[in-house]
Amino acid sequence: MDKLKKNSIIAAGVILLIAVLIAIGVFVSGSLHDEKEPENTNGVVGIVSDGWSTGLDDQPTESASIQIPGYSMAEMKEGDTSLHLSIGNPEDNSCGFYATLMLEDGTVLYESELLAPGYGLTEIPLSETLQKGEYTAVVLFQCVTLDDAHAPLNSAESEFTLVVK
Amino acid sequence: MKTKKIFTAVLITSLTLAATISVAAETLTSTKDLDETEVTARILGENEPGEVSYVVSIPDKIDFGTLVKPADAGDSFVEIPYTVRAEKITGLDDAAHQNWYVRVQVRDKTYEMDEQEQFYLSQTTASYPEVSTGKHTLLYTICLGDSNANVEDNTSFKNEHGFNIAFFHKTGDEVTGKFRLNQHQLYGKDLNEYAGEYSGSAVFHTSIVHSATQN
Repeated sequence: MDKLKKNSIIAAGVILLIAVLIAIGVFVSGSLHDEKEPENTNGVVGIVSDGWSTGLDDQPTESASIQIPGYSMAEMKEGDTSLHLSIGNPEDNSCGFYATLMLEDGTVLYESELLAPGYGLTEIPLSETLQKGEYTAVVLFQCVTLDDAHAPLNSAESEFTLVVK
Repeated sequence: MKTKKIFTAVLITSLTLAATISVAAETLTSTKDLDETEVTARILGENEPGEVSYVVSIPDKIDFGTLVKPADAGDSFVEIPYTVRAEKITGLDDAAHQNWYVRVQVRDKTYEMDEQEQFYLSQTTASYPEVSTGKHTLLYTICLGDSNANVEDNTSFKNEHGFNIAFFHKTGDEVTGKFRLNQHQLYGKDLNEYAGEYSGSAVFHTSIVHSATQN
């Protein structure tokens, strides 16, 4: 009888230990997920990935046109080395983008590689930090053909206010 | 029997503990998202800082095809229609933003306000380089709507970004017009010099502006 009682206590202990380990695993997993949130930008800067979307409901467009994303504002903290800005090439386009982020005075903060349709990035690594203030910034989209020639097409600029806090 | 009760109690406690911590982790994530939404709502309505708030479509190129030297000195226009459209606009449909617009301006790639404001194609490749004296240019114009007046003369405003051609307030707004090239420019010219490939590009500049400052 004592042996049976002892075994039951051991089994209960093992189950309790397993449950605690599962709970810790779930909690750690949740914590790791949190570390990927935007405020920790240093770990994900400059990563171009496919599956980029404007985040809006994409509309079909005429064949001889290019969809250009536009912005109202973006913000960052003084001294930040990256900026949360969704730069990319809408997947309905049939051309490539070279995107350049610059200030109104011509200061270039970022130049992208060739972005195929559906490719883009949301954390922009900056070539220099900015002081507090409001800046007029522009993303220049230089559009090119997708063949080997990368022949230039019309281009576009999206102007927005960049707030540095 | 007592052992069985102890075992059951420990099992229930363990499973409850695991479930409680799992839910807590999920709740923490949801709360965080909610906080971020509240912050951005205070700043921009439905648009978060750094996110795309509108999409405008522009013509991909200006292709006049093969040009022909006119037989006489009269005008000989080649016209290519274009459309500039607001594919999507968010954040301007509430009462607080009723006087805000997405403005579209256009300029030649070589534009300099009050210095070089015309639109033109440059010869990039001469068909007969042995007789070509150098790079030639062909002027073209951008017309709004059905008008034949070029945008340089017909628009009410220009700045360092170019000429106003559109003000969009909601999804689906659009303007149409035409690119127009007069082949009269080739009349009386030696085609051996002018033959070749030409290219040029326009720059479309978009920004969100208030009606009080748009002109």
